[in-house]
Amino acid sequence: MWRYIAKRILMLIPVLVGVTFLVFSLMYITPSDPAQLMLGANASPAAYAQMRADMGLDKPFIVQYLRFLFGYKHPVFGYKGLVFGDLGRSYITNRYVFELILSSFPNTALLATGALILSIALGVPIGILSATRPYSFIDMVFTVLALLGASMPTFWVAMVFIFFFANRLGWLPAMSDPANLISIILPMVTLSLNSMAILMRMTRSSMLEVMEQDYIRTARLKGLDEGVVIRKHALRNALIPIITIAGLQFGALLSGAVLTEKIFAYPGIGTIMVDAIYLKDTPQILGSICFVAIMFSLVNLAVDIMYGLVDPRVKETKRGPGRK
Amino acid sequence: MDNLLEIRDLAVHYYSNRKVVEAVNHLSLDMKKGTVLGLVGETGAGKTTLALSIVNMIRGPQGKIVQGSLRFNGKDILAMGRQELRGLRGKDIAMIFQDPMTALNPVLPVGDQIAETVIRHEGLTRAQGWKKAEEMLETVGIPGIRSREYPHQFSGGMKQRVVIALALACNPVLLLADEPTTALDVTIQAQVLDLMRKLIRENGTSVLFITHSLGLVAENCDEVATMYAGEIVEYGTVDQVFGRPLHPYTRGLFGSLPRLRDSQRRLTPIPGLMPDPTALPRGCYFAPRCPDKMPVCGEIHPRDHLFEGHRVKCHLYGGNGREAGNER
Repeated sequence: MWRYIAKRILMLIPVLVGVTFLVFSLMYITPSDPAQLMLGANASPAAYAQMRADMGLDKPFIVQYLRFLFGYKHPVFGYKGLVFGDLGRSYITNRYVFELILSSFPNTALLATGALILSIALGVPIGILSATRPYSFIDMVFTVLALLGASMPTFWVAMVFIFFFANRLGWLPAMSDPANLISIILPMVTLSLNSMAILMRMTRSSMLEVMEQDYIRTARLKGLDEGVVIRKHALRNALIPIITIAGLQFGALLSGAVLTEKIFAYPGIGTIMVDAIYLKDTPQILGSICFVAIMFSLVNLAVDIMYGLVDPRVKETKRGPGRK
Repeated sequence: MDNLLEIRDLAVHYYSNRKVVEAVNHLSLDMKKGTVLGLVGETGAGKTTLALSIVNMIRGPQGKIVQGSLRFNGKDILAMGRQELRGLRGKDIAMIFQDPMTALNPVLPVGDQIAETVIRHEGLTRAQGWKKAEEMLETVGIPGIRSREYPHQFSGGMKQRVVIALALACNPVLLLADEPTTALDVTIQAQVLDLMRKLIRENGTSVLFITHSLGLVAENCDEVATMYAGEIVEYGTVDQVFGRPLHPYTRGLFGSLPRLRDSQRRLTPIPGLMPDPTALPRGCYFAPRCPDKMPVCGEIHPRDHLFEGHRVKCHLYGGNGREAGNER
């Protein structure tokens, strides 16, 4: 098991190289000039050239990329590189890139975890309910609701929620702040709707499939109560695809609450990313994206480990050859 | 009364796309206590449907027992409430399935799957249940310590033995064995059958042995019922039916068996296919394939005719046929 985890963490390296290379290339070809940005529009050509040299922007692409990975020595703009966990300072705020990320990530994690718990707590039981009464009235109602939840765009839901619950009814604040837990309710519900709908549908179809299996018939023929058949025999088998989806949703929530965070002015990693992109703050953009990519991969790893807890067949193969 | 199971005029239908699949048709059958009854027939004859009806496990909304009665130990199964049925399933009537690969839950240890049955029916504690599970595994020749292992860690034959241990854990009165050896290798088949025979004899369990192998019937059963298109077309003791098969279908089944002695003769398969259960013929269901077809066979559905307990559903034995019999 440990060997498997170590292997998976090592596999993060190529993933990160790929992600950073892609992001770095994109930043390189966008028509933005950090040197110009630092100096303002009225700088002399000589000062501009000096700034470009100081920032290392006059070097070829590949040199710049390698510096990004392994560090760049310079009294003002120098940094140790991504490999050593340092991307230098933001061009705009002059604060260390990772300092800002680490201070905002817990906020995002709070929001994402809340949204995930909410969508599992409602989505999975409703999915089971639908699966035990397929094509009944109640199933139809939830099918329509799930369709709505999955197809309404998050940013629109966010604005509708603000309009109703903040402006019209005045129940909840429109701006959201991690220090005030009540203010998180709106963005959390907004974020959870989509994954709740997906989990609901996934649970329903997974349960329906499992309920048709022979071992469910065996369980019923043993004279077990229907509740035991569903909880003990069906749900554990149905959980496997549900965990995958929940994990993917969590990864997406951690990294991609961008719109929701921005609309509710929530100080999470999504807001930081959007602000950095507006300001063409290259180190901050690169830093945020790398961080999010690492988080996403780690969540996926956690999901894979959880399979082993639910499905004994997975544990076996993960032990690898040579051990029994 | 010595009848353990009495099935009267049973009909089971499945509904799909506005078509009605008549899986079991006006079937009547008795089983005496302590007998092993072989139920033979082609795939699709309704054998498994019959077995599932006995525990009232025909799944709605597609499947439905539309008429008839099922009495087990004198009690009407179809009139039982859910709770009473659950008390019956796994305790008095147990079932062994054709495919051991899919019959066991892949995410639960085999011991747990046996233990939960005995805990459910015999009111044991968890620890006692597991102990019983280990004992049952030992009875079928699997070391008790393997009770913590999962189904994928066992071979096919061992899985079927686990299923047998599971079925016999509560000492059922009636065992429904639905082609218990079909999915196994021939050598494993013999092992599993020996084991079943031994356990059945020790416990005095009655068995409905569903198979399409006449050989297995001859070796293992006391009585035989031949099933065709949802009906029992012939019923008698093994000696009666094997000594003198009456129904042309049963004779056809014997004709499609290879014989070691006369090597030059080719096998004579029964021509044609079983009738479409959504559109059964008006007269005898076997008439379209029957070598002894008479004009009446296409018109009137035959009744049961009796010869000293040997029952056959065929016009050949109906008085105006070639052989006279004493009708009921």
